[in-house]
Amino acid sequence: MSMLNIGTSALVTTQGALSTTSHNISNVNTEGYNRQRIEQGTRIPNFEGGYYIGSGVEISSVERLFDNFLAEQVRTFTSQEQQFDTFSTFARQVDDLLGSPQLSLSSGLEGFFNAVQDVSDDPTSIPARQVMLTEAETLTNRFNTLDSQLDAFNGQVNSSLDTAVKDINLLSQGISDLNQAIIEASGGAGIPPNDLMDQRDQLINELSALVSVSTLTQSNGAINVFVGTGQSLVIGNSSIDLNIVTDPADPSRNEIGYGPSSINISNQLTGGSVGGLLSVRQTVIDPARAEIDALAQGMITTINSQHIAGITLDGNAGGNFFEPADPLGNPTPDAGSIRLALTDPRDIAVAFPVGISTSQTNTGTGQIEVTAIDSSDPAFDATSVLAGAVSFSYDNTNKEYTVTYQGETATIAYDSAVDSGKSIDLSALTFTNLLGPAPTSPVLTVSLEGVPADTDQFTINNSVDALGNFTAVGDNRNALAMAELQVTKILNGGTQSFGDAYGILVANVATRTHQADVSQKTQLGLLDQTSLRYESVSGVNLDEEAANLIKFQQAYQAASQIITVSNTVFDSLIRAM
Amino acid sequence: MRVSTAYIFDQNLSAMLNQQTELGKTQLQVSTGKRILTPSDDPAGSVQILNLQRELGLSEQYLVNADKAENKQVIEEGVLQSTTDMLQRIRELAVQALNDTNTQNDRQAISAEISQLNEQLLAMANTRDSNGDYLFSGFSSNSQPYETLHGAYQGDEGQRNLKVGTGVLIESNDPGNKVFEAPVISTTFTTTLAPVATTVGTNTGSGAVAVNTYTGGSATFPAIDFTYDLALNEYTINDGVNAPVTIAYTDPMNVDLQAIDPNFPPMTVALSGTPADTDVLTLSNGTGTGQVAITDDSGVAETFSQITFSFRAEIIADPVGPPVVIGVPAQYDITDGINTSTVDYIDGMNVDLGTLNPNFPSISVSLSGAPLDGDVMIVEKTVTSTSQSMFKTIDNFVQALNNNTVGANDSPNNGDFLTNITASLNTVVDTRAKVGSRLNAIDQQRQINDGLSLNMQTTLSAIQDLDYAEAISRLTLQTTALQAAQQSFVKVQGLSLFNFL
Repeated sequence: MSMLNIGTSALVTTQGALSTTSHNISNVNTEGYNRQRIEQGTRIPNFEGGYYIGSGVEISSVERLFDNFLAEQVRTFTSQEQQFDTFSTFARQVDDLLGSPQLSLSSGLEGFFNAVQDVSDDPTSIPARQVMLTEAETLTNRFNTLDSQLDAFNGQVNSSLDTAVKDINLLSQGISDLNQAIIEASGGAGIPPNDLMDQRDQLINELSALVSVSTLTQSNGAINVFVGTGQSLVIGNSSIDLNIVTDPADPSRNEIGYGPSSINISNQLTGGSVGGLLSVRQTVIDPARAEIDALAQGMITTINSQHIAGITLDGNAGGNFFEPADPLGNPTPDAGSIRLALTDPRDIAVAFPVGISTSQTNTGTGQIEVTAIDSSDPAFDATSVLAGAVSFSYDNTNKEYTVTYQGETATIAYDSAVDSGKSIDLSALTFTNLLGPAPTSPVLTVSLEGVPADTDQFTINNSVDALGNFTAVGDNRNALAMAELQVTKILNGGTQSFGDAYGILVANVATRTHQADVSQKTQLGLLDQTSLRYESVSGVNLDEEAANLIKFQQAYQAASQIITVSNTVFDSLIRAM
Repeated sequence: MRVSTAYIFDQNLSAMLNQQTELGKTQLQVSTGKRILTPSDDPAGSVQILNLQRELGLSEQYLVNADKAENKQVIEEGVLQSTTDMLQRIRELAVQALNDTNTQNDRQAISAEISQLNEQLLAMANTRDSNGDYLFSGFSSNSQPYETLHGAYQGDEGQRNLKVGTGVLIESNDPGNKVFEAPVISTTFTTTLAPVATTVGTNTGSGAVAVNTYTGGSATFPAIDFTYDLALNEYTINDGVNAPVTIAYTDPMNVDLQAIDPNFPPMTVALSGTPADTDVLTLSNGTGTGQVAITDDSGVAETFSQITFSFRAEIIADPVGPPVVIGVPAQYDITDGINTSTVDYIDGMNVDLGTLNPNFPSISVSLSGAPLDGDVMIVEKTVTSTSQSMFKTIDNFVQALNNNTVGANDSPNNGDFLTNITASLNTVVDTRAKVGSRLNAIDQQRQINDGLSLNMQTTLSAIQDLDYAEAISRLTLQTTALQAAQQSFVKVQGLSLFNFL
């Protein structure tokens, strides 16, 4: 009977092999499937006195071809690749936004300041003034749009984090369930339930695409999963949920909390799409919003302070050009709230609040020009900058101007040979105090030029006279001063113009996006190589399986022949009886 | 190494997808003509692009500003050109009108033409630009600079600067009071009979007093005595009205009486010689009736401030004192302070000073009346200068022509008018020169901006524009690669052992 037994064992074993091959073939496209292989060995031989006779074949185990080291590497690279991929997806959106010609602040600023120059060319032209208002509105719209887009990106980050946390929790739950199933299936005998383990490995792989994880295999076959700095997601057959918490400092930001007490662990999470979301928010979206806000605040402050210093077409004091102006008010001035304060083009303050007249009797070539007006005093009123005329009289003997203001005098040394072009801040002058308190010095900066003759006289007066009459409608000096703000280095401690600051923002975002792209490609390459090695161990090759199929089919046919032969042998024996 | 079937499939597929992505990007580059599609394609380059575009935008705005500045200056230049022509015509007419051969009718005819031209000049000053702004009213673009011929300037001194380059501001207008107003001079002559110095007969010294200058005109004053005190070496000056004053004496000395006491008459005197104690010198009003009148002042513009005519009576008998020549006729000694000349006096005579002494100014005087010996006639020229509009100056002249009051002693007199109109003309010409130099500056700045723009565009193009030759060949290469990948994919996927089972 041994021959029949041997034949049967061969048939059973070969059937097992054929089944395993079929299982491999059928799972060729199953995600996370690791090919299986039967390990077969000889059965315990029969001792026939002086010798052993082989007793056939048996399946000792069904092996899962799996290299834990490679699997861990694949997870690591998946985490990193996903992080950079997510980062670059979001950064690219910000990059496109800032670089888009339709939304770029750069062209918005250019359009606005060009319109200011057009107004300075024709101060009385209502169409030119209207264009300036329209361009200013376009600029504020761009600020608003950029702000709302960046806000929307922030919202996308929030909702992506929300989804990711839900996915992580589902996966943790799945892993813990599988842990339980595997512990039960192994039954303590250590027989691995291959397909369950495949499923669990696949879930861990999916988890690593969301966030970087580390694993620890327990002796009972369970795998514990950790995130961040060792916070456990899965311990044996139980899992701990992550949840969304809001940043108390900024309720518009979702953060990730751990466990029932919702401890914020955002700063400890790296890798995966969660890591990518957190880092793109921190390094791209937040700085971009801050920079755009700073730009908007800078625009509001500097344009307003120049505009307030001027006089409108109707002889009124220039008001705020942009709103909201109050940094402590509600809403606070930023890119989201900036808007145009004016509606009437006649209200643009294009003229300077003071004018200069030269005495008809002057014989020298001296000139005095007002170059700046300090409008920072809250009580500043452009229609009455001066309390009275400021008169300058040149004394050629002492090479100095005597400045008279409200009956008090001060002197400015001016030697045309060395001082031409000299700029003097009149508010820094101290007027002699002969009669009562000295007057408040005029908040003007003047430049002195040319060669004045002795006793030459100049007078600075308010452009709007005491009766409120204003004739200097063709004065473009305040518009010129506003246009000059385009190239003046105002922001970041006087190192950047508006355009510079925007350029630097674009460069920062572009560089980070570019870096993320490069890193993502690098990680993808590493992932591909590791995957190739992993797949070379665990992946199903159909040709191989086809060959195995032929091999096992032939073995099966041969084993069948054993049964036939054993039958023939048995028949011969019967017939002999 | 064994490879898994699924992996081969995935890899081939993702390789094809990547190639399609690259191909799509190249295609987008070709269709837009831009090398950089988003800033992250080339962060450094895209910042350069932003900066260059900003600079280009500025440069283009400067060109726009330059065009506007140029337009304004060209209009102003045209106005000033016409103004110059009209002023020159007025000057020609004035020269013609001033010719002594003209009758009042002739002058009125000419004045009509001048008046017409003057109205046109006024219209020129009130020119508006295309925006309806007055060209010559400074910042007060809505205020008419000169409402009437005699009206004051209604504008201000504002000069609108246009920005035609980085840090380059060009003035685009000139305020009317710097164009149409010029200093006008008005010359008047005054003839004064100077105080007469007399010496008391009892004097024993040789002390003498003489009048240097006197600007009191025909006003009279009490006689002033100068009494010498030898012990103290000083003169006591006493006019019997004011408190006597004393001055230390040195020989010779000049004394400004008003500097000693403002109540004394306006004169300076020279004291000289060696007076004896208690010697008295007296200054008193002249009583002669001699007259000096200007009849032709064509040399009015020549430099002189006063001419002194000192009369000496005919010497008939030998007086007590130093010997003199008897029979010398009555004479005027004439001096302008440097040159001297002498003419014999005939009542009603006309003297052409320029002929008398070429160093004298070319003016003629008539001498008449009965001067007394020692009378000194001082002819003083006073020139006042003020600034006023050329319209007022011309209109005043027109009135003078109409009234035929353009003689030597009339105001304005003929010499003054020509001087004044020349001054006006010079002011306009000076302004035209300024306009010309501004136009030059605008042109130069435009060339600079054009050059800069071209450079920047070249750089910008090098950074952002696509190299089509390279891009097209890349596109071809990528297309071929994708086709090859697709074909090989089909071939490789067709290879399976199962096909042979």
